[in-house]
Amino acid sequence: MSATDQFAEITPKQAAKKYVSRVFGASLGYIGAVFGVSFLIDDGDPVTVFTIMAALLPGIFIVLMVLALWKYLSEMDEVARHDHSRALLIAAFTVLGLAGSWGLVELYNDAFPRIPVFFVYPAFFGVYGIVACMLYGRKA
Amino acid sequence: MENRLKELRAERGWSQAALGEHLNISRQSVNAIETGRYDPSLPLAFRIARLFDKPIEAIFDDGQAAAE
Repeated sequence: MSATDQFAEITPKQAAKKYVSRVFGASLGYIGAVFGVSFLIDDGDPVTVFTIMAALLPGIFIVLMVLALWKYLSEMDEVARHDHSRALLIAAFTVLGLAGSWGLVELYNDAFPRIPVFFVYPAFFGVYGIVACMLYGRKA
Repeated sequence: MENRLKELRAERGWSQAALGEHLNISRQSVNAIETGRYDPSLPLAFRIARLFDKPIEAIFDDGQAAAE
């Protein structure tokens, strides 16, 4: 990402469309992979190389979604990039703070429910989405 | 930093979306610059200046010119 990216041939609308199509494709792959893995692996199955590899399969599509966002950041104009970068930082700090705090509560209190680390991903993107809308959508 | 972008855009009868198309930025981004919420980078400031055929300091004012 350089300071001259905003002069690229691609327009902001084209960049947004490309991002949506990339994320949509990765989301379809993710849903398909989750259903496929759930069908192949049962709760009581022994841990094998196959089950570990299969469980990692949906993660590939999560990585593709993150890469789509990275690409979008490089294609959007500089004002949008500024706001989205701030939203990403706020989301990262919020989720880091919450996850770290909850982890300590879990560590020292057996009565508290264990939250799977998996939920860090949707929590991060949930906070990022809300903050990005608030920052980029505001009038002044 | 204050700027005359809204005034110059109005002189040409352009909407924020139209100016955005000339600069290859979104309407929301034009709004953010006009309202002073975002100060453009030097390359974008040059692009704006060239579009309106004016020097950068005729469009953007950091408030230091009068003080000097």
